[in-house]
Amino acid sequence: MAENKPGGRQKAGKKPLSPRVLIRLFSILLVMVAIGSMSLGRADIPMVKVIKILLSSFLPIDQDWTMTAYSVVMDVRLPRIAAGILVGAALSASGAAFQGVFQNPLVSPHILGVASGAGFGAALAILLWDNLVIIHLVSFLSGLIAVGMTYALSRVYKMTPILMLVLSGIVVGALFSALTSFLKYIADPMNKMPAIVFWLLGSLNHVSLNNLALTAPVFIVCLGLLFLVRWRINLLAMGEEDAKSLGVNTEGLKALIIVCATTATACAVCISGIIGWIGIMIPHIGRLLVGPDHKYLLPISMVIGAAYLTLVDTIARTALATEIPIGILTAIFGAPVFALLLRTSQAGK
Amino acid sequence: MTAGRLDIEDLSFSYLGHGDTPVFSGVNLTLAPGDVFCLLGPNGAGKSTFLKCLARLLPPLTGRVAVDNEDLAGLSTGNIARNMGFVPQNMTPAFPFSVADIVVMGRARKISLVSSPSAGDREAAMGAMEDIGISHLADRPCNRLSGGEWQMVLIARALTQSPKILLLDEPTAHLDLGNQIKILETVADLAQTGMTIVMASHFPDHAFICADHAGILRNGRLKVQGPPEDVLTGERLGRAFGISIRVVDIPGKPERKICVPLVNSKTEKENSL
Repeated sequence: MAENKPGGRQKAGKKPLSPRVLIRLFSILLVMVAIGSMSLGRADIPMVKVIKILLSSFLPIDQDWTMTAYSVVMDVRLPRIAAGILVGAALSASGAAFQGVFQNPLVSPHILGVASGAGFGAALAILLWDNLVIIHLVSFLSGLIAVGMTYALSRVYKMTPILMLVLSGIVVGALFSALTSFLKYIADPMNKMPAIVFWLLGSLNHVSLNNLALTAPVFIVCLGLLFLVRWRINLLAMGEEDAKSLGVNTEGLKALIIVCATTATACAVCISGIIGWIGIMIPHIGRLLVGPDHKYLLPISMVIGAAYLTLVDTIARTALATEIPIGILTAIFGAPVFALLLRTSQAGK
Repeated sequence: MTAGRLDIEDLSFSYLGHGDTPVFSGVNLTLAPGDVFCLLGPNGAGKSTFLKCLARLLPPLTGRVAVDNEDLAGLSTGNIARNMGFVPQNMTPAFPFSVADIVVMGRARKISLVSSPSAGDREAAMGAMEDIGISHLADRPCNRLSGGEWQMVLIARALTQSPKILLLDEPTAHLDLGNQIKILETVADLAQTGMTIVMASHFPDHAFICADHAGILRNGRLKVQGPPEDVLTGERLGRAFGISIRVVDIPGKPERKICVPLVNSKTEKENSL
């Protein structure tokens, strides 16, 4: 019944694809991008072989590949691509959720200071310990601490809580950025400082099976919860008072969404550094494709974000002899694309 | 049907709590099912605040609001929404949701935390849109609606909520004459079906057109209330709005009163000399 609503749709000469079909199409695209990415790299492995290697874990397939190829696919590329998918999906879904809750399509998942906090934690850990697990852990925790500070600060003033939350995020973000700059200033310029800078620019280079196993459950729980309550983001997007008048427990719902989106973002930042633009750009593309209803917007943002980050990461590790920090690439692609998107959505109004 | 009896006793509100000058205080009001109450008052009198207190969007300082003898104070947000539907004024959504998507939001309290609207919910929304004659707008993005259409969408959404009492915050603000009357006709039709309606308005004529009861909120008090023809005298309205007003009967059918503001410009003063 929802598919054949009268009026509206028929006006456009050709019928636009339904949101469900689009989500399926982009899911297929994501799988193709992931397999393509696994075949590309310093050692080129044909896609057919990649598929065989992947399936060999579940099905009895005659081995016609070398152990090196197997190891490259399963131990090196698979964790990295899985991390790319999770990080891309997390940043895009969190971006869409934050934009809905804060009723502002220009909000990024880093709005509450999570990126600055996590960046500071990582810089501190690189300076003091230089152990990957500790770096991830400290970064994740300090990202959450930053958001906690943002939240505590916003409670000082009781009226217009949403505006105060955003302003507090800017304050806390600025504080942690300054602290990070201080750490960079005092860090050893020969080895520690480049490590900090490279980390802050974002990269999926450090992902291993171990830290993926630690973070994947957190990603899945947070994204799963966001996915389940996604229709209710529509209600908060109408304004808190309005949602309340419709009988929604806005406080609890808002807390759930912000905690899930923040934790997913902190998780993304702690394994991949600060990757900008995705969280703003992908939900915009999603809105152009399926409209503003979060029932469809959230899933399509997840799959497009996952495919996009996997694609960009493939470019990052194959385009030049040395790896390009992925945050630089997402910004180089993101800025012009976003400018174009703004034009399109303006014309569509 | 959804009819409900509304009892308001000694209601008062202040933004800063006790000790502060209240926005309004000591308000008493009783409405029978199907009554239309028109709340008049100048800008800033506290009409919107009063309606938000009824909907529990703001917590009253003192007093009691009860629907069918059920005190709203102890109820959850969802159960308040079962009693009170609120149509806000001047709301602009940040995202261009379609009209159907907005109207179905009225079912929010019946949809579980982890679900999306079902086909039944969509049908209920469509039904509400048909009832007030806006089903042709269903697929339109809400940023491509006229002011009158948008107001009707919000009314349809409140009806989808199926509340006992409908609260309308200046539903005719910023609308042209034709659209104002369309909204008032819709209000009158809803009252015919037994819905109890509280409507805030700037225009005394709106009370004459569609209300059974009217009251003027002024200086934080709802001093007089009753049938519009008795309550809304030229003298009282003049005092409330700070100008000279005459209330006259329009000749012929339908028999109704009309409010005529007297213009006191310099030229007119000179002419009267």
